[in-house]
Amino acid sequence: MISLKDVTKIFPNGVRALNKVNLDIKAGDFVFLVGPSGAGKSTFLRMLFRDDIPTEGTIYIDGKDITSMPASRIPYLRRNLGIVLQDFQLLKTRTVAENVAFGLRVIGAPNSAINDRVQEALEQVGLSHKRRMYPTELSGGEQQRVCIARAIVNNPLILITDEPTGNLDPMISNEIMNLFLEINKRGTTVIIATHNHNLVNKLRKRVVALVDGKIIKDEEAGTYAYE
Amino acid sequence: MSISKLSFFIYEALTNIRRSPVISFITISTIATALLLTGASMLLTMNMENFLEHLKSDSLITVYLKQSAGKHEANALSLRLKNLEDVEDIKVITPEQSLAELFPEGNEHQFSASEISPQDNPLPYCLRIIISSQAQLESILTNLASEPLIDSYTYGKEFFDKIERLSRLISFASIAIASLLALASLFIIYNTIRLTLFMRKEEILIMKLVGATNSFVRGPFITEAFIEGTLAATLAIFLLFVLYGISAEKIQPLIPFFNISMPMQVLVKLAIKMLLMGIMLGVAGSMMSLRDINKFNKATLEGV
Repeated sequence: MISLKDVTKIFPNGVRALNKVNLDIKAGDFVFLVGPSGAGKSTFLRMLFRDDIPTEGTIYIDGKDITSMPASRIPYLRRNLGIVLQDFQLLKTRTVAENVAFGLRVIGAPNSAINDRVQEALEQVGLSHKRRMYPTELSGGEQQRVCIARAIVNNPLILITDEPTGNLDPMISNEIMNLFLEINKRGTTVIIATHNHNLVNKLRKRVVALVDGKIIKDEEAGTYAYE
Repeated sequence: MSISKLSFFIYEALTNIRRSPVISFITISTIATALLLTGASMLLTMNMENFLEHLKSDSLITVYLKQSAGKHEANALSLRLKNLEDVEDIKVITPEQSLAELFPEGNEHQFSASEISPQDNPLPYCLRIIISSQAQLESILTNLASEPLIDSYTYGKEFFDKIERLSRLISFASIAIASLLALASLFIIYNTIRLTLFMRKEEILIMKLVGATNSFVRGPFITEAFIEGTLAATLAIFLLFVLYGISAEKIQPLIPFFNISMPMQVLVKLAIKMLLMGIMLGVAGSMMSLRDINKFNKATLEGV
C-alpha cells in the first residue's frame, strides 16, 4: 500500500529531516509513528499527502510513484486519503454538517449523495445530533471528531493523522483512538504520529520510531519507547 | 460542469458577497462607473455621427452668380444644373430676396448703415442647391466651377470638417477614457480578489487538503466576479438609459431639426455590449489575481 525507498528530505536551511528512510505499510495496517519533537514525523506524513517532496528517494502509494506525480494529479491523490491534523482546521463560519460536506463538495459529489454520506460519517463519530452547530460551539474533542468525520466521509484508503490527540484530555483521547480503531477495522490503513505514550502502550499496534530522521525501531505490537 | 458543482460555486459566491458587502459594493460601483462613462461616450459618439449624417444629407450648396447674370440666365442655369445626379432641388434667389433675408426688418437705418438699399442693391442672383447625398458632391462642384456665369459657391465644407474633427476627437477621448476606466476596474477587482484570497486562506487550504483542484478553488471567485460584473452592468445600463432620457428631453428643444432619441434596436445592442464588458472586466480581473492560487499548493498552514 505505502512504500518508502531511501527517502531523504533536506530543507533549504540544511536540516536533514529524513535520512534514507525505508518503510513498507500494508493495506489495513494500523501504525503509530513515534519519536521526539523534530524527529521528522510531520515531514514524513506531509510527504505521504504530497505537501512536500523528498530531496532523494521515492514514495509509492498503491503502486504509484507520488514523488514524480505532476501537481495537477495531487488533488486526486488526496481524495483517497483522509488527513487529520493537530490544529483542527475547521471553517468557523460553517456548520458541522457543512464542514464535513466540504470534503464531498470539492470532489463534485452529487447533492443527493452528500446528505446521506455526511449523516453516516457524523454517526460514526457520534456527532449527528450536533450537525447544525458551529465549530465554536463545540469542545476540542468534538471539533477533532468533526475533522475525523470530514476525513472519512470519502471512505479513504489511508487515514493520516498528525498528533490528533495533542490538545485533548485523556478521556477524549481514548474516545478518538477508539474511533480510529473502528475506522481501521473497516479496512482503512491508519497512520498516527503521536507523543501519547499511554495510548501507544495500551493499544499495542505496530510502532515505527523516528529519531533524527532515521527509523530506529519498527515493531509489531510495539511500545512507545525509542531510546 | 455538474449541477452540484455549479450550485456550490453560486452558493459560495453569493455567501462571499454577503459576508463582505463593502468590498463587493466597491467592486460593483467601480465597474458600474467605468461602464456608465463608457456607455455615455458611446451614446454621445453615436449621436454625433447621426447628427453629422443628418447635416450631410440635408446639405446645401449656395451658388453666387456674377453681377452681369440676370433672371433669365439664373433660371437657365438652374434648369441645366437640375439634370445633374444627386441634385434634389434648386431654388433661385433674387437680389431682392437676398436683401430681405439680410435685413428682415428692412428699415432705413439699417440700409444707410450698410450703404445698401433696395434702390441700390449690389447683391447678385443666387442658386440654392439641395443635394440628396454626398456621393456626387465632387462632380457637382466640378460642374459649378466650369460654369462661366458663376462667381463663387459655398457648401459648408469647413463646417462639416469641424464637426467631423469634433466627432473623431470625441470617439478618441471616449476610447481613452473607457480604456483608463477599464484598467482602473481591473486593478480594483484584481486587488479585491487578492484581499479575499488572503482572507479565505484557511478555507482554500482546507479545500486543497481534501482534494480540490485549482480550477475548483477558482470556481467560486470567478463566479463571484461574474455576478458582480453582471450586477454592475445592469446598474450602469439602468442609470445610462435614465440619464439619457432626461438629457434628451432637455436638449431636444434646442435642436428641433435633429431627433436625439435612438432606435430601440441600437439601445439593446449597446446594453448587450455593456453587459458583456461588465462580465469580461469582472472575470478578467479575477483570473489575473487567481494566478497566485498556486501559492496555496501546500495544504498545511505552515506552507503559506
